[in-house]
Amino acid sequence: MTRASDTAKLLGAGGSILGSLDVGGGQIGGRRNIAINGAMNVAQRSASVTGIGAAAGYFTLDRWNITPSGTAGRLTMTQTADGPSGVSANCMKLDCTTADASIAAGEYLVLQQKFEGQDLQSIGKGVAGAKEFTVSFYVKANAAFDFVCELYDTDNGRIISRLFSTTTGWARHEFTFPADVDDGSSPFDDDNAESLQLNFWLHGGSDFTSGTLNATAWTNATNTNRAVGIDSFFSSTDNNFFITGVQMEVGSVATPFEHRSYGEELALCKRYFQNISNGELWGSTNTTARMRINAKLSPDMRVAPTIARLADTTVTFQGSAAGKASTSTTAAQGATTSTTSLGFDLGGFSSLGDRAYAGANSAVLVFTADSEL
Amino acid sequence: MNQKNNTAWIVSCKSSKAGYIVNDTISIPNDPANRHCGDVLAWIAEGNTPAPDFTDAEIAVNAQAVTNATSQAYLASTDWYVIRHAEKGVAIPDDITSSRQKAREAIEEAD
Repeated sequence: MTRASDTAKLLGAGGSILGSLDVGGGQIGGRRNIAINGAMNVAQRSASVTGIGAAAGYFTLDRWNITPSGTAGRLTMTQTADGPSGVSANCMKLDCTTADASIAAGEYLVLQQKFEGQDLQSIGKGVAGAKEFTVSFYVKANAAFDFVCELYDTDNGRIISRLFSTTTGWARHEFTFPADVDDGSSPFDDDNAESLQLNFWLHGGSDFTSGTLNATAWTNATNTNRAVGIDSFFSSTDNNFFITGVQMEVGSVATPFEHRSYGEELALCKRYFQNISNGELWGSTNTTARMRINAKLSPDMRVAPTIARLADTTVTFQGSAAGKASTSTTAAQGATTSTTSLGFDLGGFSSLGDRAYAGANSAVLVFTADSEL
Repeated sequence: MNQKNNTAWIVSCKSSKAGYIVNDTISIPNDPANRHCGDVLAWIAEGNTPAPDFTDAEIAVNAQAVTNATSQAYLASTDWYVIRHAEKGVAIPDDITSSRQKAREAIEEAD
């Protein structure tokens, strides 16, 4: 149903009209939130990591990447049970543990989520009929700060930004970004690669703050305009920043945060990261010391993943009689991973006699599979 | 700031059949759509060269391991000749005896 005249009225007490939602824009039925893990409920890697600041990465909450550069500041990222009532029980907490009051020109700290182009096609960006879309999120901090929420079209190098403020209590910010019709030459690619970043600028040097914030219309990216007016999260070790309820949706209205079940959200996250437990593995002997190991990846991952061996765990298998454990702490060799399964050789066994083995100790996590953007 | 590949985390890198093994614990497919592969390719572009998949010593160890497994399997499959000889006095065929001796000689525990 896409008739332009279709609208739904939000009625208050006595029938007063509080607002209207454009059905044709797709904001009412079906799944609205394009962001994943906006409620900060899924943390497959870890619930808390300290000392973040030297390198970019995905550390705790799924799908949320933090990208620092050049800063001496360090932080602890934690999934915290302190979300706003009625929105989410959880939030992400960033706690500054090392301050960086001397900000070099090229420094920055950005919290971000990256999106596949094929998941953004409903926006119609860069072509005739392009739609507005709206980002909303809940934040609080230990004090009043100004930070920037930015959308960065990485397919076409175009940006738009909005400044927002924090207080010591939860506040929802809602920003509607205009359609980017451009000249018709900058749509999101319809593929599984990155097309868009939702960025929260928390710290930046003059290379990113010395221009004029581009808040009104999409434009080709100029670094000096990207984080104009922000404060620094790394200004003091007193600083904390909390965020949750992140939603990105097509249309001009910030609808209430869309709650998804934990299972739904976890499945969405597993397209990008999966823990592999020992019990999911199957092994076939190819020497007395080495097995070819296979496991199913479910759901299918975005691309063939990186397989990492987790430290301090032992890979064990059960044969027809005896159990066998690998003493190897090294990576899989001869990996033949795909988006649907992984297969690799693992050494460090001794006297393998059976043809096939089943993984034991099902609860022990032994590998990770990572196909994040 | 956009998609700058990070190479600082790469301490060691070996080529493998389907990609790269980094820091001995991470297996990365040779697929530029994988962000870690992008890091490795950037690391190579900086002038670094991945080590070969296996060193000569590792190749020798792997080859011996395969020989051992094959030989042990052959011995296991022909043990019944020896048992039959012990229990009933039926002679073991000469070619079996010869092949079993070759299998034993081939086995060197390399693990």
